[in-house]
Amino acid sequence: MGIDRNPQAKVQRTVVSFIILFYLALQGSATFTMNWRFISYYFPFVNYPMYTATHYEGEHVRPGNIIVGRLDDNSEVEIHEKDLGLNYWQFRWGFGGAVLRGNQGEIVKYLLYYKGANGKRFTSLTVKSFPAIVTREGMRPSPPEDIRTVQLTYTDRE
Amino acid sequence: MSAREVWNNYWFNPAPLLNLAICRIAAVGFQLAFLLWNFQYSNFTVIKGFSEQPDTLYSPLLVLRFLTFPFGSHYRPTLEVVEVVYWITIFAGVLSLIGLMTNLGLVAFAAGCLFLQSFIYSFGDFHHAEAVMMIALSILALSPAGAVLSIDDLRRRLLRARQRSQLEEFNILEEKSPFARWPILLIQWIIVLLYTSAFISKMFHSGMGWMNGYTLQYILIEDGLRDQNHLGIWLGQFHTLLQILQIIVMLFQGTFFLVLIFPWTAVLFLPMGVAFHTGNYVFLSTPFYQWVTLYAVFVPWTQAVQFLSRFRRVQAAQKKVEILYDGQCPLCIRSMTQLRYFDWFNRLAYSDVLKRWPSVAERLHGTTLDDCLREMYVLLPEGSVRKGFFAFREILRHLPPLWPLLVFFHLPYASRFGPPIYNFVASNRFRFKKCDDDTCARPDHSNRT
Repeated sequence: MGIDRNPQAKVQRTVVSFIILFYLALQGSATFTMNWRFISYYFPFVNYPMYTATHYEGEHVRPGNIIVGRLDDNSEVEIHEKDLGLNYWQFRWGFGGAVLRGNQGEIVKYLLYYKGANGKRFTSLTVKSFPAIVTREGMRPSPPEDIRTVQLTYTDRE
Repeated sequence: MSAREVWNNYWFNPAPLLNLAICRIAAVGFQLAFLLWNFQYSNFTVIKGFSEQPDTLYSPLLVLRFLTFPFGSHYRPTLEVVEVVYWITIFAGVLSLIGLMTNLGLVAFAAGCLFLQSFIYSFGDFHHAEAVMMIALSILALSPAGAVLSIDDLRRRLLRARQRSQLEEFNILEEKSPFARWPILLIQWIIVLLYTSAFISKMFHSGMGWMNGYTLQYILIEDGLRDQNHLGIWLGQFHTLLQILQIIVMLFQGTFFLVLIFPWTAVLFLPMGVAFHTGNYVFLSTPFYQWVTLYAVFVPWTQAVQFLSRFRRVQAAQKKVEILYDGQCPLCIRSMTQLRYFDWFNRLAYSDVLKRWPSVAERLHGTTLDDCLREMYVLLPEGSVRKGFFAFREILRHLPPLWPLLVFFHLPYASRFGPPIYNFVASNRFRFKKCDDDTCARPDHSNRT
């Protein structure tokens, strides 16, 4: 059985060929696009840039960062994902990432939930890290450290 | 040969429909189980959490905007809407799995899965594992994935058998279509592009230095501490082993494209891939079950079944189990058509008892033709005979796709309660099925015994 030459099959093949090219073009461009932000446009055609960074001996691993906030009454509280109505990944990558980058606008978006639930505002946030050090023999603990502090200012609407 | 001919030969060469159907069952079966299990026990909690989050955190993916476009560009689905979509998706998945209105079911299933997943990913929490399954389902929805191994196909064959009033020769392993190849090849291409993406990303960001052993130690320790995965932290001690594993990972991801050029290399790449993803799951807690499930597209199922079929036939010295059926009874023809549908290994011979009676009467000593018409008789190659419930149980043994049913036929007391149930069904079978004409009325053959 070879390639069917009848006109209807020809039309079908042409339509399917466009479908194939459409899928290949989208996945191909996602594959060769290195920018993570494009994912929201391409999904479900995504690239796979996980675990791409090189790490070296002596580097600090920081899986257990905590975020401590200073409130406008000068008290300090540790902020958990539930305090902001987030799940683990949103807290870690979304809120945690925004704090590490010092992105005020993004941080305030996440803190709106806290203000709504508790009526309080944070004046500053500090990321405290409990790192481990990578050695040839495995993991070695390291003393805790503050790795970022962000002073927060608000507009009237916030 | 022109470029068009090369293209057509590559994508549209007639290929077995069984391969595509098995891929459909694997993909839909997995995704359905994933939806039922993962959503009920995990994702619905996540979705409920999302429903309480402010609009400022809702950033719908483009595909979700497209799917909800009729409701306005700023539409945000409520929890109730998501739940309704979920149950419609489950229903469509069941249709796709059993092959009832297959393409319609697949379109609805693929769209529903895409909606649910893209909604979950519209709150800044994004993962990778699920995307490839969304693409694969949408490709299957556009293909003749339900042309065999489906209720749609079985119904077509039953209708034809009824119209012709005879049992037709067919074997679904031999059914081919020029449109059965492209969906499988396209999913293969997508998987290859994904691994290539992982390889290119590492090379672009880090180059060969990525394979220094410390990188994987770092990853294992970081993810191990985060997820409390002690196995990951334990593995993080073995620097040299991890360096070797990193080299293997790079080789695997960087050369996976070879399966498209030399399909036989799947024998090497698929076990490596299964080991790679299993290792990731055990030591890094990263579940990529979807990818492993979709490896089904690299398996030449038809050839595998045909190879096993030849092997089994040689083992059985080419002797078949013979079923005696009433060739004048449409219901019997219908039953034989159903059995033949699953007789992939060609292990059964179907004989019209009215034609065969003179030659088998002696072998069935003490049995009348009317007995044979009353219940099913099966002649085994070594000379023994099974009838009724035990005949049916024997037949199932030779039809691997129906082996799951054997569990019920071997339950405790099945031998005691099975025969009366079988006899009841057999003696009342004419009442269970409405006929257009009088052909269902069993003719009296008592004078021929």
